[in-house]
Amino acid sequence: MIRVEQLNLFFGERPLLQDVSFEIGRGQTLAIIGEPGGGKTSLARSLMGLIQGRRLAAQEKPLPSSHFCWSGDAWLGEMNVLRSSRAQLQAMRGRSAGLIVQALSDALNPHLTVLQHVQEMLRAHGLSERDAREECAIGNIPDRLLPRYPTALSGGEIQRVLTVLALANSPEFLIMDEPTAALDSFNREIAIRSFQNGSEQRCQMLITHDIELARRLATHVGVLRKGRLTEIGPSEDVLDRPRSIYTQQLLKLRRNAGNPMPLPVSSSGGNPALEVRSGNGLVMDRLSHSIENRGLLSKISAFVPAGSCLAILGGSGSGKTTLARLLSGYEKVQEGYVYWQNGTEREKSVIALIPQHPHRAMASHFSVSDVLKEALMLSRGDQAEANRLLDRVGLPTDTDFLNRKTRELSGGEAQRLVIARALATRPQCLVADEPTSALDMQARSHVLEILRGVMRNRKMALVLFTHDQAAARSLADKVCHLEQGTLICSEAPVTNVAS
Amino acid sequence: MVPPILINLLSGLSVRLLVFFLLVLLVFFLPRLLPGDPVAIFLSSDLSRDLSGSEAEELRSQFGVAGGWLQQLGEYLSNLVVGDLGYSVPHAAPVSQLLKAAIPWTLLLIACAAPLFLIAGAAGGIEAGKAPGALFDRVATGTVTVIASIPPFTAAVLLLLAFGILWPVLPAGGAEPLFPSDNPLQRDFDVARHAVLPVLALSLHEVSRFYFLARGEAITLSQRPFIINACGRGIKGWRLRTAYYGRSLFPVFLARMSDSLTGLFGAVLFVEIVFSYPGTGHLIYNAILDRDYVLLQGAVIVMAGLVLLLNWIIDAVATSLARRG
Repeated sequence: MIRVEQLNLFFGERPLLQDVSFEIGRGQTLAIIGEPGGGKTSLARSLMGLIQGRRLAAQEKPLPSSHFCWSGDAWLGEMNVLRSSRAQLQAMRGRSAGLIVQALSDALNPHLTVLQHVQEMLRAHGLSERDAREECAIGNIPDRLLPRYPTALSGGEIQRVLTVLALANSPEFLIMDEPTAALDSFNREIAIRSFQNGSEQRCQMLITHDIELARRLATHVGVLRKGRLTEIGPSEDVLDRPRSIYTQQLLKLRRNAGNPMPLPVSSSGGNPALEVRSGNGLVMDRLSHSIENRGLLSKISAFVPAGSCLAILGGSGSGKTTLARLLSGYEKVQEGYVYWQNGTEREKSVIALIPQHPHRAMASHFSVSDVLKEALMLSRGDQAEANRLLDRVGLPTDTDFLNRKTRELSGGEAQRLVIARALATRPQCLVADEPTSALDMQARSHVLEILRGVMRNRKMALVLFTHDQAAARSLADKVCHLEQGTLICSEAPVTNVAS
Repeated sequence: MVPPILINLLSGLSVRLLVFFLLVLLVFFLPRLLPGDPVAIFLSSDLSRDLSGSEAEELRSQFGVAGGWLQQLGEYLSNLVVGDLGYSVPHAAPVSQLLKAAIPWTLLLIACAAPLFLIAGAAGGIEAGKAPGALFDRVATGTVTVIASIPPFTAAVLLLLAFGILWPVLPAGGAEPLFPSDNPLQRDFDVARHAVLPVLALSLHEVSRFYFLARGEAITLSQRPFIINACGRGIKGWRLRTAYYGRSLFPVFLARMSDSLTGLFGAVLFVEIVFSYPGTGHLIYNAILDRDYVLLQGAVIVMAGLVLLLNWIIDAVATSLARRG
């Protein structure tokens, strides 16, 4: 079993976890839910013994520094990971305990192909007799991905590789940190099934902000807020009859998101390229793109009128991120055109990108005002302009907040700041690539509200890339699917994204 | 499809040819801007007899300094193209022949020292950077700091003093015994014994720069998710250090190599002088003392060509690797 006793974790003086205790027996899955920045990822890493730092002596107070320190105990089976030697920890990792993390771009070794990763994993644990290709097939990694390096993989594909790697050795303890956030609904089902499969032999800990996922996988649920476990118990109790107000808020937001407005249906249907393009708006004209000689996008055409939103849904690896990078100019257009139509004139489009992971889009040592100042240099704005921007996205404008470093912001705050920064350049068009998938429900609804506001009030065109159908429904005037490199805007409401 | 490395090689070639040509021009004009010419210097010696005007003129054309500059340049370039670098009077031999004998020794030193300081620097730096502040880091960083603070020629002299004179286990100078053995095996062994101290001195000079580079990179790498995830999967030991740290360091090392090559050839000069090693450095040093401009020019052109050639290849490889991210 996994047993954590009075775990306290500090980074320098700042407490990340305070007095956390719980037990996970064999066959049980504990879901830890709560806001981002609440210490969930640190908890996962400390259970794997992956936090570099030192143990606090009894009664010792943490000192200001840039190291981790901790007190308390964490048992994986017979082994206390917080008191074990390096050799003991190394013997445990990947053998009796597995870790699945959220697929960020840097999650895999950029110098190894997918196949090499799996082969390495099998070799490192003396399982060389097993076939790496078979392992990949089980995790729905098609053969064409095997010789690729991670730069040519989408978030969902990286996530599948991470899952295959973690499950390769059938670990007794499985720690999952947002294991499905990057997956589309089809691959999410496969992943969930593989977590359920054999879970009666495992102790699983699931860290997520996805309450639906927690409900499906977990036998027990704990709510982590500001580093403290505020509520813990069997999942029916916590999710259906929550005691704390914080849990009730978390769940209420989820329910609101679950009852979306009816999906807008494309008015003309058929080929968007044939639609009448009148007035101002963003034009994509026959965009084609290939990666490593394999066509990813072919002849994408669309028109997004100012003040409206086009949502583009698509499965993992369908080219959503590539199209977003093409539109915002981070990737060179290989074939076709992107421009802004002003009446009958063609102009160079001024587009700002809102990325999926706000923290990775800002220098961590910048303060809030540094981030805005830099962007305002482009449009020659002043401090008053910065305050107006912060106001617009619902962030405070006091000096205390302006001087905070971006790494100290929560996910929701950081995403709002990134939106404010995007608005500072006075763009005609916003391109949002999964702007809400890394956020909890509360932050998510804030961000969607802000996007809706700026789109309507400032007459901006918004292109939203997502696999979150609820978000698409709540914002979009038109919804299209990216399938096999082409854009399909169907009359029928979106039902099954990837199947 | 053309492999990307070929494209990188081609795109880097033109700029290096241009640099090389400019360098040849520089080498040609610089000595001619000095007051006097080799013949005047030759004649100012006490031992020389007085020459008639026609004899001096003949000597001038022999030295390649007869006629106008443009005519001289044309002659110089056409000779250069066929590999004729001129004739060294003090050595009484063609420059190309002298260089052909010296360059293998210099390349031997560099070829032996480069893997040594690269591998030692990378291995030490990775080990220290994996756990900054730990015992290994404190000891290794301290030692390397001391080594880095000793000027290269001082280190060479100290090595010579320690292992060549005070405790004479290794030969103190030269590349071979005075009378090389007829047995090829014995001869190789002697060459290797003579190369140990110069190679060591050269490596000591270079190791610190690569150690600190590797350590700094490894500290940043340790925080990167792909390394933390690999540790979480149980990847450890040799595999973690080579496939994860090592391969990420490779492009950085290559980039640093391409800019430190000139320094390396400069360091060889010191080392060869201290150990009287018969390489190009030794040759250049003596050419300066003898005012042997022809030899000096030839040596500079050939060394510059070597540096540009290595730098060209390293750059192309580094650019290809950087694409991977």
